[in-house]
Amino acid sequence: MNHLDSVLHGFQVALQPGNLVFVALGVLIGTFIGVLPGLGPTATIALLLPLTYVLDPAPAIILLAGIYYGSVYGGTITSVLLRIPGEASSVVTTFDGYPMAQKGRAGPALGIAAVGSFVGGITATVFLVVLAPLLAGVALNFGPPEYTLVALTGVLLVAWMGNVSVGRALVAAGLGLFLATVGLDSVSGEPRFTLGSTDLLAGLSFIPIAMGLFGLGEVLYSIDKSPTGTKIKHKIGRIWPSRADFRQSGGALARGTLLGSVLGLLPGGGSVVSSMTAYVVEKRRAKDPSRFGKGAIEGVAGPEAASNAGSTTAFVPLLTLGIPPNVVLALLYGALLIQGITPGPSLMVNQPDVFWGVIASMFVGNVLLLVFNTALIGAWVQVLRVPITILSTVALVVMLIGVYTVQNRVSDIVVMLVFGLLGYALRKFGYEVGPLVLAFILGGILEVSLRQSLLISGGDFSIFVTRPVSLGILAVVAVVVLVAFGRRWALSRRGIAPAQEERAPEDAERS
Amino acid sequence: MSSPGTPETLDTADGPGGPADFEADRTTRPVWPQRLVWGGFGGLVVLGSVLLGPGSPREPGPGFWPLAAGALILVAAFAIRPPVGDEPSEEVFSHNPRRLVTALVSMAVFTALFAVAGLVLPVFALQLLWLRVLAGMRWWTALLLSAAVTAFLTAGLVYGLNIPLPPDPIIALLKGTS
Repeated sequence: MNHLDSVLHGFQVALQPGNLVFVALGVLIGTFIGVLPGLGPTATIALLLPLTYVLDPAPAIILLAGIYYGSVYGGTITSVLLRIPGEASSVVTTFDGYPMAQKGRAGPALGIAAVGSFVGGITATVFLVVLAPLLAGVALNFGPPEYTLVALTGVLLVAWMGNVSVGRALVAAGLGLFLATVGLDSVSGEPRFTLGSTDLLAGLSFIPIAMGLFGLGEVLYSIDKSPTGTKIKHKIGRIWPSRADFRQSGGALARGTLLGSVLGLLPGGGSVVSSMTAYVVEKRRAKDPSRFGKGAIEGVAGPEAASNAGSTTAFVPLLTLGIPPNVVLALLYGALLIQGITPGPSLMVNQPDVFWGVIASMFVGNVLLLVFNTALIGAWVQVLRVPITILSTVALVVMLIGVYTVQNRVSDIVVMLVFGLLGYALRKFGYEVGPLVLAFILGGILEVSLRQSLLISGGDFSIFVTRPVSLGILAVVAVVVLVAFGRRWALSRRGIAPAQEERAPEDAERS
Repeated sequence: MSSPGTPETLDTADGPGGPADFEADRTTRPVWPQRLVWGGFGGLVVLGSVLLGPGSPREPGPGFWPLAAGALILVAAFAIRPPVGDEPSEEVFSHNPRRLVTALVSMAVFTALFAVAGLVLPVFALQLLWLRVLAGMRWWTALLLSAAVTAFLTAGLVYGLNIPLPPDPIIALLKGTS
């Protein structure tokens, strides 16, 4: 099959009536979840993981992917109307989206966000179509040393680029790496850290851990909050932006799309880093930066395009290298494993329905998102009235039964409860569970590839720097790290903390 | 549905999780207990790895990789510092410990009941408790919603997906197999 045939085959898969329903369902659930400032996309995907067990691979991944990029847009609605980001990548949208709403321009803010998401999503999907086969071709030359480096980079960058301090993130990552070692050693067959339990010989399952840390942890967190619904005080008015709005935000849409498409490819990248960077770029380029934080439409358009573009191209490392670059995609990686599919360079050849079907479904999903988010905005606003505790209650029962149905083991419910409490406690103590889950997923790949590398080299660690491809990977990592350190150094010389620079201008001026 | 030109006006204030809510949650804890706990945990993992046998780089043993994970936890524990700037702050463990304990105990009871009584009764009881006590719904609304969710789940799992569940007297009665 040549490239065009493959893409057409993907559309044949995505446009099957059943799969169309799953795309629509995915983006609807995603937007719904994004709107609610409670359960995030990670919790929702964790919650629905058992469902994928009873679906075929293509519809299962199409559904979860739809939830992922649907939620990226859904978070925008509360950012604009309430100044509460529905999920992390929408934080930036509060900076100018909320001031626009205060000025009676909530409609155009939501409209340009929908258009930005559409432009970013569609363009990045084209990037994905072009880049994924190229990178898969390169990845076929990867051996154990290269996989060790890519996986290690993924864990370290996610820990380093997260919201918490490096110490806390590395502790969480270390815990994830440790948990991945529980069970029989794959080489010697010796039990490790099983505490004498035969249930633990097969290792800890990914689903109860992910559902506990994200889903149940979030439910416990939400019941500790007020059980009331949310009310909105701003008029939404006309949704579609005016010509002047489009003229003003056209450049921001293009720049945001490009930035997001590139940053999404990096480990630790995706929608959060992309939207933050796009905002900083727009503010720096502006003739009058003081407008930012006071309702500049470019401050909504650029980050929204970047956010959706980043979340789309983040699929490239997952589908081609088998390395999830962020936590949500780590859950998708888990879903693929449940289906008996190992993501990686051979996915494109061995599972064309999944590979090309999922990519084609993104084109369809982005069109549906634009329609849903311009036509159904009133319905999404009503969703905000549902108290989070009611939703949490229903979600709880779905999780408790769902985790059981995967392997019909009550012990999985117990594991989920333990990790739910751990997720809740970690959050209350200021930790993120993302690095933990990503490290748990990548821990297996890391250990096997590291041990294979050392066996190949006879215990010589220089194997990681003497092979051209691994040296290339190290060079890319070094450039990323140097650029980030350089930026921190430049900001600290100007007396600005990195996080502070990314805040709304009026906040930065105040502090 | 809101079409262009249709104003959507609702009333008042910020909702749960709003800025004021977050501020009220914040707390500051000394960092040394966390360093001690994580450092101790990392130390135990290192010790366990040594007992497993780390081997050598030429021939890595079963404890080789866990040793790296334990060392990472141990070292990172000493790099833990209080949150600064926009980093997520530490929060009060629970505003209402009774709610948290109710939630945890009810889930533990559910798990025990599920193993012996199956799906219907434990799901219905858990829903009712959570909706009435934790969500603050009225009795009738909580009863109706609990019954609806239980019926939906039972129909979907038992009749739709044919998922094998622990023996359930009510499902057996419905199927006439008791």
